Amino acid sequence: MIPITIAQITERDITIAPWHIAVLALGVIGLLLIRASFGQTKPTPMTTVGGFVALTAAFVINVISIPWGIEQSLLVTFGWLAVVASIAFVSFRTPVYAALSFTAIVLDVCGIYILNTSPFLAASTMIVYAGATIIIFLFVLMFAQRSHLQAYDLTISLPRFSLLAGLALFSGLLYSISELNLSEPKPLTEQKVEALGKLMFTDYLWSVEIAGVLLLIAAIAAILIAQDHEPDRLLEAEVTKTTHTQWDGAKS
Amino acid sequence: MTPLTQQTLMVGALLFTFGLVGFLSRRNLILIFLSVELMLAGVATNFIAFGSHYGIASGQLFAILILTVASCEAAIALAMVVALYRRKSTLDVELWSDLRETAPEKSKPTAKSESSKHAEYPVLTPAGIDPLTTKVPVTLPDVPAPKA
Repeated sequence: MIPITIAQITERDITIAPWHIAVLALGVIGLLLIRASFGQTKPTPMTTVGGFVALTAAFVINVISIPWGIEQSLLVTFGWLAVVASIAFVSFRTPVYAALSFTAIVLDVCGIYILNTSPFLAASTMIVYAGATIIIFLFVLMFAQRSHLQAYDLTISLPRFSLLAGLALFSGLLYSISELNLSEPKPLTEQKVEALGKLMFTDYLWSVEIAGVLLLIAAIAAILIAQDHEPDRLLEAEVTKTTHTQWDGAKS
Repeated sequence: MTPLTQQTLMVGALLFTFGLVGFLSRRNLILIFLSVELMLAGVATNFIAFGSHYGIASGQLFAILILTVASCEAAIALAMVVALYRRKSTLDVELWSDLRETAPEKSKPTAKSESSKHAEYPVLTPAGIDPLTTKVPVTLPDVPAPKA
């Protein structure tokens, strides 16, 4: 049954590489396994072993189905590290570990940016995401985290729906990527950062200015939202207390 | 399409998918916001892949704009998380489900018991409904009867 289907697909000239199917299988099995014990974040040992086997199989199929080279091997390494780190991000129960695996994802994605001729963006992403944003997230986590795991970290909301939505989205994205017909690639003619700077301060000047204003507004809004209103409440309590005592004194 | 572009697009798709799964399934407020950041990173990866394929710098520029918006979002989201944590001393997102747009009688029993536990908080009018023209069924917290 399956060979016939694949032959029909090749006759219709739909470009589906074997590793597309492999990565789709990885998505199905991995997501199923992560969410195997529905409602609980902790997977059973059998599902862990099965997920590991599925990951390894998809990795091997991906490696043997692409042309080999130093760029390809770096790309495969960074891509798979990012995938493993994002599986860890989704399935870690401790929020601090999840935030640290997000840092790992960002670093791997920065490696992919460098391979895609965007070294400046890789550096800025590393500084902004892995350097600043994750540190702030960790600060807030430490501010709000108790010593033991809470009930909301141990349970999952909407396990089946999130699984189905993820699978539907990923199969759609996979289909559109395999159907994509891009024209021939062109290399960058200018220096990379120079081209970016020229574009930023000529064609897209308004966008950059608006982004700056947005940052300013966000900073002011964050200060206003996070202000502590507790002193006002204390002051009110103080005022009512004094009026009560005055009233009591006047009555006596 | 070169294998480089294809694999980069694939990584972007996977990051977006895992971000969606994390957004839908997590209950911790901070991890929900981190999942949104993961989805934004996937979109930025797509921009980088197409910009690098066509040899233009616009992809990098849009990725930088995404980075800016993600920073703004992180700042405001964390400020809101701090403000919400001061109210209820928990990061559970389900306790704030009474801020959504549905009618109040559909709210879960946990939220109701929570609101009756903290009787000093006001019951908000549901957003999206005109309070002057629509009769809103308001569930007031249980107030104990005054002792005679």
